[in-house]
Amino acid sequence: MSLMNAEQYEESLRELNLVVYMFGRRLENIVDDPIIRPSMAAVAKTYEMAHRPEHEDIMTATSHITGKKINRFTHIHQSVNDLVKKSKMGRLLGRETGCCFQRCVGVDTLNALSIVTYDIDQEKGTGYYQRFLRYLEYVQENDLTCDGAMTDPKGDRSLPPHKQADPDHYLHVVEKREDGIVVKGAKAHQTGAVNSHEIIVMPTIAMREGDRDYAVSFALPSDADGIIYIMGRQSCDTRKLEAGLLDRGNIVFGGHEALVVFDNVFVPWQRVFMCGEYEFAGKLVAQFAAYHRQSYACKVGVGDVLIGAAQTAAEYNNVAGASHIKDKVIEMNHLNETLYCGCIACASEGHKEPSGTYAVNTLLANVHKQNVTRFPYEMARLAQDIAGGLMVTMPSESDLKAPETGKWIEKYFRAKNDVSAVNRMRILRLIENITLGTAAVGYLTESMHGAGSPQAQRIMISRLVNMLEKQKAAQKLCGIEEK
Amino acid sequence: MRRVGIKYCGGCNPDYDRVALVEELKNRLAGYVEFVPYDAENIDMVLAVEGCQTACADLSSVKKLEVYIIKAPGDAEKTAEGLKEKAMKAFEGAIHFSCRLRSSISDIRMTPFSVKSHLN
Repeated sequence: MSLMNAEQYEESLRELNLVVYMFGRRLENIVDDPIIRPSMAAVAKTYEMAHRPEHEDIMTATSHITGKKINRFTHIHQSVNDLVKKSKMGRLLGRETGCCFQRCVGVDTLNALSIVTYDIDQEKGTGYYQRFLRYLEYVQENDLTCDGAMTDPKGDRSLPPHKQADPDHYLHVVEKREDGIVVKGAKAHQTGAVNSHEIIVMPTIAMREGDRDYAVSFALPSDADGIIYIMGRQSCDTRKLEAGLLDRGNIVFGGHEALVVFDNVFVPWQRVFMCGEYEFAGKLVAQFAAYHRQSYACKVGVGDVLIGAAQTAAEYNNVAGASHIKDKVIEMNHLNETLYCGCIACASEGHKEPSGTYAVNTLLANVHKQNVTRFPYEMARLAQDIAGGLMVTMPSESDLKAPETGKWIEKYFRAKNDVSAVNRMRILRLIENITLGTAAVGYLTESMHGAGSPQAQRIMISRLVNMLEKQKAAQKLCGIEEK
Repeated sequence: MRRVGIKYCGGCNPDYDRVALVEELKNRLAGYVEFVPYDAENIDMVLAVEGCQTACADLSSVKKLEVYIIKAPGDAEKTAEGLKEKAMKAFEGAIHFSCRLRSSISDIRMTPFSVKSHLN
């Protein structure tokens, strides 16, 4: 079954036995939980669209291992064209779901590991790469969703992992056995964790010899013994518990994050891809980060939705022709397409690594992600400007439906004559959802901190630009001949 | 009947509704051309439906076949005519069919496609 459909995906999740807590209690039925289900629907969309002829060219690829048609979210990039299609897939799915569809982190992890396991083998004579390929084939054959787990809680940021007061603030190996390792620690902010079949752990920072036990990468079934998920909550999340859909804004899709605890979890050797090779921890982090910074192509798609919503709100108010409104919409489009430029550019300038995997241009990926830390915020500001204050002051759907109050809401919140109050409320709730509701987790704060906070990109930019060449060019043009 | 394999681009940010345009084409050419997926067996030619001028659909698996390419709704009329001409040649000698076909070609020229590009 190298291509699951949405229904098969949902059923496959029901077979998992995850230990998930939310609001202080363990969940018995995760798939049908009203708060989690919209995020499952967003992942399911990645399965559904792979079967649609009008999208399969982006959503599927050919496995370099088996030659079979697979979901692009399990593919190892074999060309620059593959990298470009990944960026395009992000925009497409962002626009289809209006939220984080959670599956990019897995494909980014798989691609980073395909590079680094090969590199470790070349230097150390280990056998990680073949082990990884066997695992990859399993993922591709079963079309699995993988959670790439990188971010440790990190404790005292000024101290390396092995000097933390609590040694578990970075995930680490606590025991090595003949048949595998035992690990302890946690990974924070795990997007889509409880919608995943597999969880693939990586180190979170570059490491030195003292951190050897922390330089570990492995994959486990998401319901392996000892893994515990504690759901993060989102602004306005309990609206999903209310009757009616209108106040959710996005009535179909959503995202989620969780804290994932590894409480002395056993990992068999065949699922270990790094164990003690601390010299390669930084490379794995950098490769993953570059791919994942490219993945913020998804925000372009969500930006498409936000622009569409802002334009609709303006038309409903009959102000779309006003010059300042037009200018604000132009600015939103300018910002959004500038983001698109970055994710296409870093893909187009990709290159082949020794393993055969194609990697993005790291400098351009970091520039792209740096833009993502800023532009969605400005777009959100402009959308709120266009939407007007009613977005945050209007009554609930229940008030709209109540006979005592509904008539007044219908009367006073109708704008242009042919636009109903309910449709006006729907579009404003969608803008609210993306800019300060549940979807703002993905569109704003995740844009800021996901795949590394802004300073992480600035450090990479400073490392990667060729400053000497720039200076030489300037000095040559003005006649400076000093070395 | 000629079998035409449809190959879409991925549709990341299309300028028009590609699926709706293909539906119109199917209706126009019903009875003359059979549209099937591009990876179906025994196809005679391919219709590549591209959402924009970038035209990035992967056509490597069909490169031995004749490929018609639509990059915008404006390409649809010419494509419909071309596919009908091919159908006519395939049935060369069947006089009643040719007559019917000629009138059909005339019909499609008179009835514009309804799908529009946002760029128009």
